[in-house]
Amino acid sequence: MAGKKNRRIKQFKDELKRNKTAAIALIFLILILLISIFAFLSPYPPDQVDVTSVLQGPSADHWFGTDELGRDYFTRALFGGRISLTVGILAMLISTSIGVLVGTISGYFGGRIDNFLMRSVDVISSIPWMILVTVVSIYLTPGLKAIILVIGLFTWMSTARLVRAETLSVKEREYVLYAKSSGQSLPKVIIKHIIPAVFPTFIVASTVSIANAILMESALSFLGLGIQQPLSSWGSMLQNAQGNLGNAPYMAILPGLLIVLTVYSFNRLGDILRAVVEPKTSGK
Amino acid sequence: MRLFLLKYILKRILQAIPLLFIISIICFTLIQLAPYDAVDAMTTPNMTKKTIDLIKARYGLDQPAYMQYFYWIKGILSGEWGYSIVTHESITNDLSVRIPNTILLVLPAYILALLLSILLGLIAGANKGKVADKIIDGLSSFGIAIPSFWMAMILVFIFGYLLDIFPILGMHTVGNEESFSDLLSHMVLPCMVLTLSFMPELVRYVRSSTIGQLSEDYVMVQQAYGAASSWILFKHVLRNVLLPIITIVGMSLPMLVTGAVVTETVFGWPGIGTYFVKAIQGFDYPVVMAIMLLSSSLVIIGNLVSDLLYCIVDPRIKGMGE
Amino acid sequence: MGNMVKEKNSLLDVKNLRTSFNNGKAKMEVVRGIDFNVQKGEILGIVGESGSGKSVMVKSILGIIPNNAKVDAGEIILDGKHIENLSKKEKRAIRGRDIAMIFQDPMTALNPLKKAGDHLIELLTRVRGMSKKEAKLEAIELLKMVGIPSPETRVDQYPHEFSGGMRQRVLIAMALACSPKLLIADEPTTALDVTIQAQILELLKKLQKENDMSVVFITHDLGVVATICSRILVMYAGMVMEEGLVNEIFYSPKHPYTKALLNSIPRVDGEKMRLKPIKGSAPSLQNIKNGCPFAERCEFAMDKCFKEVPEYKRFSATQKCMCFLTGEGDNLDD
Repeated sequence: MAGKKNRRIKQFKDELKRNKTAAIALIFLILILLISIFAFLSPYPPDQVDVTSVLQGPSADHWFGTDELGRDYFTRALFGGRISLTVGILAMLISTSIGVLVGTISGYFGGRIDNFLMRSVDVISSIPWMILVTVVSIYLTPGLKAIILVIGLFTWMSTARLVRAETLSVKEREYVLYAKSSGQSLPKVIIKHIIPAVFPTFIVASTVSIANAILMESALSFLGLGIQQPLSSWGSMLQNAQGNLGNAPYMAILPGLLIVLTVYSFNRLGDILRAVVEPKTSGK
Repeated sequence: MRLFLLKYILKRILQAIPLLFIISIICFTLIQLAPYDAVDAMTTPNMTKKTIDLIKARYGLDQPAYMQYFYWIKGILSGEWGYSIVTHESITNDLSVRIPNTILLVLPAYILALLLSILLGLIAGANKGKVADKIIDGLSSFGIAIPSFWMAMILVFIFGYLLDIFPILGMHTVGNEESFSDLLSHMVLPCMVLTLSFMPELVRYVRSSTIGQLSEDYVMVQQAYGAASSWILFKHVLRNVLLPIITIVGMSLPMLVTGAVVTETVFGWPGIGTYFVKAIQGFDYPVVMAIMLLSSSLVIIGNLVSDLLYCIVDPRIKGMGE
Repeated sequence: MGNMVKEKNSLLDVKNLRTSFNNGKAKMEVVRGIDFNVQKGEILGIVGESGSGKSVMVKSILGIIPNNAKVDAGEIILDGKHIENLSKKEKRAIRGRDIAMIFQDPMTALNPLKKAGDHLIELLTRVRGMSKKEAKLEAIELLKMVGIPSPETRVDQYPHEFSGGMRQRVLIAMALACSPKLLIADEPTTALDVTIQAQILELLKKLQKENDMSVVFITHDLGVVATICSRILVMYAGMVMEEGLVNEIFYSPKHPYTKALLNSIPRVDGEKMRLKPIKGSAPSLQNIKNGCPFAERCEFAMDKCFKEVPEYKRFSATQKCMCFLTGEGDNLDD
């Protein structure tokens, strides 16, 4: 098992060496994670209102200018990144956990349970995500918790389908059949044999899932249905920037660029992970 | 038409019906859960209790929930979608004004995006690994990461503020509602945003489909018989690539209603998107549920239509069961 | 018999053909200096295990190798003309017209969205300049010629409506459409049932005689070769191990590999069946070692075999072999 893991890590490194943009994407992600964590080191507190320097363009003091309340825009973007990444990662954790759970149960037990779960997936997938997520959000108090829950709870369907397909093929393999016939308890079989086998699928699905969650959060916050003041995410900063597009266009650049680069990097990471996990498709 | 095909179509329709039924129950339940009384949409504060009860009885609101569901479904099927609790307007009327506006944006943008994507996807797929492919594929993977509203903001800034050549808000200039060219100029920017946001995934799909087809044996056979690569691409590969696109087009049916929520909001376009966002912000439950029911039904119908289209077009399925 | 390999009778001459694959990191030589010729009107069998480079070799001759492959060296002379340095366009003109090819898997070789007849009609209009109407009549003729019943209706059917054997017949009809001088058949019967195999082999033999074509028949099955070919080339790891007439290969094989191949054909001797599979597996072409490529699996291998590649030794005007063990002219006892 350890050998397999090491081989995967080596493959991952090879893939990074071969694929320059993927390596850059990974470096960017690490960087954005670090500066989000250490955002408090910025000389400007994110909420410090300064009426003397409102809507200033980029300068040596304020690299990306200030917003309509005179707050340092760069600092706000760093703190916004915290929120966007938090939403992305937590929503991913919820969504992939449900997806893996539903997928393994559905694939492992088959029959009526499978049928019921998959039909439920069909029903939920029939509602366009934008509509589903916003509709559910009006029943919750808007805010950070609500948006994480809403995105996490209603985006697990594709993961569930993938994991189910994987489970279906794994459960017929000999070692699983042996474990079953040798009297291992059901949860043990699932945890020891099924979950490790679907783990690669899970990893790939999770990077894509973070990217999608960040995009969803930004769209919802942009529509004013997501992150609420005084918190701000890249999406809500762009909503703010839209109102000032005529007189302070620079406000639209930084948060948008950060969203694009982050989402792109997570997708790229997903691509190389997929290449490592499924060597068949890597020959492109 | 062959019996087999007829049977399959019937089976698919029968499968879609329970799905629609469940969706309608979910919508109905969500309305019931909402903290408001449906009768509020039809009353004014100065009505007497007696008149309100009369209205309740007339619309079946004094009946148990399952009877109310029955009335509600009957209303939906006969085109009575209820009333907004904020504006007291008939939802049916509002929808009939707003849906065409959204279609006016989404349909041309989608068709344009589809044509461009087929072209670019074919070019990229046929030149896999070369410069053209690297550019097209690289731009598409970037395009997928760009939120449509950010793209909209950039285009608004460039073409609206900087160059000032296209209007950036609404459908018409005030007082110029009849002018077609005015409408067109209002359409340019939102359509551009939609086209650009529809394209990346379509391009990637066409590209990978082209690459897959080019590695098929029949392509090598055609090469072995001296067919030029452009001949192979257009006379052989193209139709194999286009066929599955029918499925994608079918599944895009709901986009005619919900495909432009964010873009409409940026441009203040009076379509379903802005209607929906306003309803969400105003807690206008009947409107929200109506749009949810409509869009989900379109998803189910879209899937059904694309399945059926595929059956009719693909000779392999047509010939089955013989 | 002695002057069978006369140059003026030769249709195709291949000299020192080398093809390699490049997967970004490493270069893999798949065809490693092959010489052979095809006589007018003969059926030449090329035998080898999968991965021996036989398919890549003929595709190199046709110029239809994948993008990551490259012909590094070699002369290819077709009917007295060098074709190895032709432009892409000139080379395309040869394919289908002078050399036609049929493939292993008839199930995937036809475009699933085009009617069987359209494959033929397209070819006839493009290569032979026929009108659509003429082409359709000719297509029906061709389908009749390859033994497809009721060709008038079959011409308008899609590939999925044909069985595997019938599809292979459609492909053979395509090959015949432009009356080529040379037909390359790349394992045309491997994917088919045994009874269908025999029918297709019969058909190929008959058509070869009627049309006076030369045929290169690639297979991994020596049994098939015996029924159809007049001469055999035995390939291993991108090299020709032995070449000779069918009788020479079957009754006095020289190379240990040829012998091993012959021993691996199941044959019924009285009541007993003896079958001796070749030990080991086909060599990886990724790390080519010095010496004879077969040395690692050869039961007679000597030190020398691992160090240098043996020269060809001639045993008759038609038979030659690449092995240290065998002396020119003498017969190796086994």
